Amino acid sequence: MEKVLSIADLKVWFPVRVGFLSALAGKEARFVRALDGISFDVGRGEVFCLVGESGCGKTTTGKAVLRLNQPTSGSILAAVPEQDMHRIETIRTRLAALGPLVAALPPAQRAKADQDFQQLHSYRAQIEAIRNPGASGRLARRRERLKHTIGYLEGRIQELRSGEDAAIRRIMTKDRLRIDLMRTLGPRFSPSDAKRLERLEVGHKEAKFRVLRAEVTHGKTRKPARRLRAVERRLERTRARIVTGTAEVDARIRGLEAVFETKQREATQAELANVENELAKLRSSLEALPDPQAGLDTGRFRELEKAVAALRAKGGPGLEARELEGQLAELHTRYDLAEWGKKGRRIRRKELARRMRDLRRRMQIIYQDPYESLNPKLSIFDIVAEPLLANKVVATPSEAEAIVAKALEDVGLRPAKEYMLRFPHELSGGQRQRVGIAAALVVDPDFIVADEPVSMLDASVRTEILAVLLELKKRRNLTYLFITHDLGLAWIIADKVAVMYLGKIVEMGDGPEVIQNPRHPYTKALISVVPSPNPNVHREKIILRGERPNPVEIPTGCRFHPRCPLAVGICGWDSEEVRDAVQALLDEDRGTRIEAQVVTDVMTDGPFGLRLMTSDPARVERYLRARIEELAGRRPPLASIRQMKGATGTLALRLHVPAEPSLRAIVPNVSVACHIVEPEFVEAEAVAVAK
Amino acid sequence: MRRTAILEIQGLKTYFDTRSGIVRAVDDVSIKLEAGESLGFAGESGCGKTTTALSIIRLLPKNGRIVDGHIRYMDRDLTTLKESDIRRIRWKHISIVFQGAMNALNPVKRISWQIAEAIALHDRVDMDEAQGRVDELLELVGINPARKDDFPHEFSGGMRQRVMIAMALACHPKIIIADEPVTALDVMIQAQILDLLQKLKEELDLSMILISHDLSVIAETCDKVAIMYGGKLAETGPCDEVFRDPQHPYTQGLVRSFPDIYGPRDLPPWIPGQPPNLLDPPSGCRFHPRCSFAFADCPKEDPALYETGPGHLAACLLRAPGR
Repeated sequence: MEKVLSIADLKVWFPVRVGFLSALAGKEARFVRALDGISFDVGRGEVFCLVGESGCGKTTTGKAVLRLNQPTSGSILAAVPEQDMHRIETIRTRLAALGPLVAALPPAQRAKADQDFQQLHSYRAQIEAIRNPGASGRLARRRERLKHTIGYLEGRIQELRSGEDAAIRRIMTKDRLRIDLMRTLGPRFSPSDAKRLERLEVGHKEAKFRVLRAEVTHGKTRKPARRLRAVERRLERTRARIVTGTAEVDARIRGLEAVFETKQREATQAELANVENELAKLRSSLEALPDPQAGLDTGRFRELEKAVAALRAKGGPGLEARELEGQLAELHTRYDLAEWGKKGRRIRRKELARRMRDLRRRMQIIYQDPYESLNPKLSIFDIVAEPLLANKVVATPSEAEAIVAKALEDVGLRPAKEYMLRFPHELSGGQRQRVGIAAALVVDPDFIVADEPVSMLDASVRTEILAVLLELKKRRNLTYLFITHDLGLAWIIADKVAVMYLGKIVEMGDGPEVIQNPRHPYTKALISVVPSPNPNVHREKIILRGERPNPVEIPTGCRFHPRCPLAVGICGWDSEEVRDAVQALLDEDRGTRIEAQVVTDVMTDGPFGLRLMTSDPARVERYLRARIEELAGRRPPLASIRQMKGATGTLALRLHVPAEPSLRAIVPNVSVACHIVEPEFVEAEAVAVAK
Repeated sequence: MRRTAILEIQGLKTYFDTRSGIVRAVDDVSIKLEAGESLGFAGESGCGKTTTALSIIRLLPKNGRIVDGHIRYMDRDLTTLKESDIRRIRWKHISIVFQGAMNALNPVKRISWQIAEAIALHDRVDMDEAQGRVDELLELVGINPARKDDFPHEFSGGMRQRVMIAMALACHPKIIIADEPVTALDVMIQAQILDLLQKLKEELDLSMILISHDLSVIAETCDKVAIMYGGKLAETGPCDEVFRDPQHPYTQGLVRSFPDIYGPRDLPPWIPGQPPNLLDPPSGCRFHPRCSFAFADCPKEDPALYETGPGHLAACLLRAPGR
């Protein structure tokens, strides 16, 4: 199936603010690890559900896909043309096949492959230079830039000579304005005069209007006409007082003008000299650049082609892998959304804006809360037409009308003409969400991120909105990334489900299979607590202890282990958790067992070690082994003790070194990230039981 | 065992005066809450669930008034009590967990202070003495008392909801009203909170009124359910009974519209149309414009609650005796 979205090892970390003093004191920067390496693919026409508690990174994923936040690492391939997506796929499969071969190469050959690759690269560059001289490379770009700058400077010289240069005019604006004001309003002009004049002029206009009205309505114009004359007299008096065109004033203005002229001339001269100097410099450096037409050589071209062919023929898997990696990197810089805003290879702002517009036309989002996400000042038409205008699908609102009407009708707001003129507050929650959907779909995207689109709606309206979404999906062959915390919803609509916990996917697979037959303990718990309106269903609820940990301090090993009801020893307990468990055990046994009393202290020793202070390590070891055997099933932290080693006065305990479980395919179409369903573990357990 | 009604609502009518007219938010609702029972109010938003609850403890907004009806609690009528008397009942006898725990706490006061304030206001003790009881209360709702001096923003949504419950329990009430206690919480936290409420109810011998728009929450926690529609009771009865065999067409539609992960994998049917405008409700049965079973009499006659089983009543003409 064609892939619409392919996410690989995506991480989004948000830095936690560290105060200035703490930073000085060398406190290291910490991160909220909202997404910590997730990978999944979404095929065209699928409904892919991301499920999990709040804070598990569902929404962060949705936003990263739309480039509403900047990924820390990883790749997001979205809206890639089918052909290129296919190429990426092919390169990836070929690379995967080459992987073991390359790994098996001796280091000398690997170095050789690197060398060959460099050689190949230089041949390619030479071939390119011959085939298309002067059109590529740094030199050509430099020439282009120089020519452009020279052209610009020549234009400026023209302008400076004709006295129309914008820069000079800007410098002189203030002086000119002053002279203009003096000329029109006189030397004694002040801002308060200007206000008075304006007021009088308005009054004059009104008085004239009154006369006119009196003539038309009752013919008694004597009074208003008298008022008009009074206003006119006052206006004239004021004008006469302000504008006094005496000879003295004229002389002053002339003086100012002379100063203005000289000032302008001087500025122009200085600027002209400056520009000409610069131009001469640029011309000389343009001449110094080598001639692009030199070195056109067909014989050389053939030679190079042959060399490339020979090199590739004897290059082996190392060279091929290097080449494919290069190609893949090139494709990633073009299409990978995660690369767009990365430091160091930042693309130009205009280019980014163009790409974003293109992306927005293909991918859109439906927001969670229809009460907050619609601007109360805009009419429904404005709200739905906004994406069209912002993405330059249409140029003017009047062009958008037909498209908006169709979008509104598509989501069931009929008649559209009537709804267009309403405002959000006049609509009910369900209708508002329909408007939100219409606004997302109006640019005709093929991929929609639906961020909890129905969770704020009344339960009885939910299915109605879902029906609209599914109907549109069928009609337009849309793909949904559906973010929800409601497993009941996922059950109905999801083709694929990914259950997330604390920034990781813990279980992923076909929707019905994952929900009917959960394998990860977290999924099991989540599904067991979904309330059901059916009173005949009675089942055991698995209520997890506590709440999700802080994503700044993610637990070691499997990040779910502190809350996991099925946790075992290898799940990644760290020394502090085990210390607490051992301490609790000793406290319990203090009254009954003599060994518990001889342990004076329990200390952590590194992240995965403990040290028991005791006078009789051998005996304590025996006691601990017996107790652990007894209790391991119920107290998983104790089961994580891997070995014990006695010395004088202390007993050192080593713990299992934690490994984070990776997402592995357990059955076809379902992968789970949990140690206890991994085949090795299941086998080991079976052996233990047989014994 | 014969239980006694601890709270009895009879013909309650609560109206709101608004600029555009009188909104009949609750219109003739009668229901009984028995001691040790949990009663669920369910319905779409704007059907009068919360207004009913607020009428019980007389915390209606300024423009709301109880027009008619009685609310009997321990031989007293809460609708006619003086404000000073109702204050003695509020919190010490009937307390409420407000909707939206996230916003109901004061962000600039410490948790312990806020709980102690509730105690000091109602129990005639000073703040120091009240602070002494905070530990015990927090322990009761499953919060580590060491965190009592935190501010609300340091708590997660679930913990804030627990604090709200602790506050409601502060003066040992007999009835606790929980208004949408789990809306906007995660499923896991939702399960934890419902579990806690259930446990507290048994331990402290409380009676509970639970208000939720989510039928499945009520189905799992309540003994008795009252489905409201347009300010009126549509159906009431024992929870199992109502959800297994709903008698009112509205309830039937509502129950069917919920997705069930133990049911078929189809989009459930929904009830078409909008809830009624309570400024000008439809004549006769308020549900008839959306009802697929409506017939000629529906717009003419306002149906009473007809008994369809033991303790199971439905306000639909189809259930009228002799029909």
